Amino acid sequence: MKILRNSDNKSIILNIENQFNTDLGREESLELFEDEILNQLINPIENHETVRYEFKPYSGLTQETSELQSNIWYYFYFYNEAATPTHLGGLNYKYVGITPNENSNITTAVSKCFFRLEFYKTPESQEPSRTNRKLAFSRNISLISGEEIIYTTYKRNIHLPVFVGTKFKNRENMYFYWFQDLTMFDNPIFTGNTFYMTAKFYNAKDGSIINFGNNRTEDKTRTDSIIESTDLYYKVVINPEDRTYQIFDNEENPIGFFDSPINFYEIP
Amino acid sequence: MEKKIIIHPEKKYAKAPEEDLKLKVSLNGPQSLLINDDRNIVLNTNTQFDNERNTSLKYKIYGKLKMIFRNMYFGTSEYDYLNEIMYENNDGLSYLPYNEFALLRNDICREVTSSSVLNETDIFTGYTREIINTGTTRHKTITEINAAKHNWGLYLTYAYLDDSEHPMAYTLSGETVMNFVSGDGIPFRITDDGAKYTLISPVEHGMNEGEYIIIDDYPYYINSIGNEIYNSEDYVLSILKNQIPSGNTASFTTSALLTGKRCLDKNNIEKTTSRYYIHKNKVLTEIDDYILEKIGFESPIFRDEKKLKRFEKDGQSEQVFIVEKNRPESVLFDFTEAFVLTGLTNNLGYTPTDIYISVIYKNGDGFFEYPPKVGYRFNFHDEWIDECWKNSNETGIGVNTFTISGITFSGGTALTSGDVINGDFIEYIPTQLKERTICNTYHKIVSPLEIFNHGQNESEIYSGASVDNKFGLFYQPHYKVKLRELSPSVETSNNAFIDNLPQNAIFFEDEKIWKWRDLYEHGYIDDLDYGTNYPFINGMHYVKTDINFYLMNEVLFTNKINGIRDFNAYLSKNTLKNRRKDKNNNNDKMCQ
Repeated sequence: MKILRNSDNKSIILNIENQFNTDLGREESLELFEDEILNQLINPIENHETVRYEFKPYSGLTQETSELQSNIWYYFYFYNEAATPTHLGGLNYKYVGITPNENSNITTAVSKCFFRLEFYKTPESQEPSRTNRKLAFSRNISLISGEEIIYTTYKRNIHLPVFVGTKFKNRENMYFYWFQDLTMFDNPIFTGNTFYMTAKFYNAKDGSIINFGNNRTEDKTRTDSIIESTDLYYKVVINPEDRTYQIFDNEENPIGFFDSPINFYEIP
Repeated sequence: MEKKIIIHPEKKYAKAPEEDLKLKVSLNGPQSLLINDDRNIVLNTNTQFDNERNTSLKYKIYGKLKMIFRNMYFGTSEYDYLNEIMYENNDGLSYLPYNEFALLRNDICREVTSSSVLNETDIFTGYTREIINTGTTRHKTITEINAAKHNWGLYLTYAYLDDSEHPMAYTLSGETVMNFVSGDGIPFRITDDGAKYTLISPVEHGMNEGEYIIIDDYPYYINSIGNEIYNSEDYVLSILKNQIPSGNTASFTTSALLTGKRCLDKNNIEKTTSRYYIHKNKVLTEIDDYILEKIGFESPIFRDEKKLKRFEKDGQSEQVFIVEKNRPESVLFDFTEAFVLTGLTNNLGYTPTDIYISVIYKNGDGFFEYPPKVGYRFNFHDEWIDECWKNSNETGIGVNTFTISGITFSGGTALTSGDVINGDFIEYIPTQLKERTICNTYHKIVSPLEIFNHGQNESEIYSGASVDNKFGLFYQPHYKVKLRELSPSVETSNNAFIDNLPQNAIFFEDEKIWKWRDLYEHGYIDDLDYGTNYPFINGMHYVKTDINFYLMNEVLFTNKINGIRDFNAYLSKNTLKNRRKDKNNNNDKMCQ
């Protein structure tokens, strides 16, 4: 039983004259009925606990197939207009105005830059679009938690827009938390185990926000031809049984491994 | 029609709170009235919450586990690999690396990117396959997946049986040994004090003046308890010699040790004598049913001890790595699925009110003998090793044997649901319908000599130590988690048709009455602090348990004596010897 929202008066009217027939309570079937109704009317028990999902462990760490790891690799390519293809060498923050010197010295702006992975839900079996998607949660990945290489000009490390999540390294992009019990959602948009993930870069140096898509294009005016359902998102599927998740590309291939990282490309 | 008795709320159990049975309609309050045809129902969120809370059988078990340990045994190894990774201090003494004890190992094998170089004109297009593994795979491969479960395993267990035939032993200095079984009662040391015998137990005997102690099936009146030492009444009792029948004197003169049971009424020995046994704990969960993680930035107050170690062998390039001697850990454990308290019957025949979090050393690397040995707190002595450890393996735990470099290692296997292991030493007091934990069980792990020799077989270091009875490390495996609370009061009735009579009700044939202890409702705490009041949300009770996990060095931890201790004598002796006193466990009763 639900109290639906409408314009009716939802107050419970207490009459001055009430008759309390206490003997009715002795009928056990009625008591049971009472309990069931009350459980639904007030304080229904719902499990809102979120649980941790980790990237599905996979073999390949050693020759032994039973020895697993759950590293997840993200590459974020910035737009390099001068190159062909357009994002060649895009694993470099200089294309968003952050110089290697700032990168290396971790200036205030650099320390506040971050990527945001956004996870959307859509009604079951519907492709995502801006009209049907709903933001479920997001994860931020700080610029300075990225991989580092030695930049010979300064003989110091600079950060790359490459991230790997492991238990002992950058865990923020490794785990995420979602509800264990999906039955308590009234809205069907939140049920189901599929999410769609897209990414943004928040540039603290100039205040800009950069959107990313899931594929590279040779067409420099591709913003006109973006098909949202296929160009923006990666599919993320959770498994509540073992509390893991997998990420798939448009061809339904699992990705996120070293040999097939999750590539995001800046949309110019 | 079935005849039922409706119990007034304050009669539900001893000290039960009163409930207002009158309906008060006020202008502002948590109650409102739902009119459903001609039927009136009072809606009260508080009552509804209580109902739901007490109906729920789900318990979320989680908490904090703090390792309290100092790695203090130094020695040598015949195993090349272990020699390479041991922590070596400035005096050249070698210690096992802390990772062999760690709750969460950090010597994992994982992919890392090799150092890449970029100059101004380079275009970085991504890493080529230059991933290298860090962490060794020479002995066992520790990955991020198994790092938290390689050394230790956490399980939920409950006492499903009791065993009064469990073999036990108690050893005094000079290798005076008494072998007995758990059902024999509590061990005592006998002292002849002229007109009386003084019996001193290494554990709290739980007896009072005016009660009886059953020795060799004969009840002796307890004339007094305690002596001149503070707190000794828990450990010392005296019986006058003049009550001992001439034929029974051998009970007190044959050996320096004996066992005794508590008895309340010598005219009703059978019904008023305590039963003694150990719990047999059945495992409820699997090794993968929990997660173990660091708790943010928290760490215990003890210091890290680590150093860089350089190693070069057989022309290999020099390796440099960090080896830790001590790394105080504080970790979070969380059993991922809620525990459902249903379908279980404990050793007393009713739904358990307590379960245990059992922390078992798994010995993934096999650097210790396995399975662990099992004993009780009275089996640890400051000056000598107890004989009980010679043959006390915990047989409920599986062993996984493997050989590397010609050395055989005995690692452990994970416990699985349904496995049974030994639990605490218990006294059941029939008149009170309750159990008293006499002492907790302890596991002891020792290193084989060829793997790590720290003199664990040398009696010069620890009296009584031998190849068959080595000393090592010990820890308490089982930690009680209270899910429900039984009233401390025993209720009685001669009528069996009482609504909601608890499962623990027992019919006493002699008195022709039923006796039971009421089950307190969640949310009720009595004036003696009995009761449970766990947060209830998401349809389950959130039971948080913080565990200080003491992993103790058997020789160097000199505060393990059970029973009473004469402080002056203790301090004097230890000051003279300038011995290290580890005051970890303040739960100990310091006595001797």
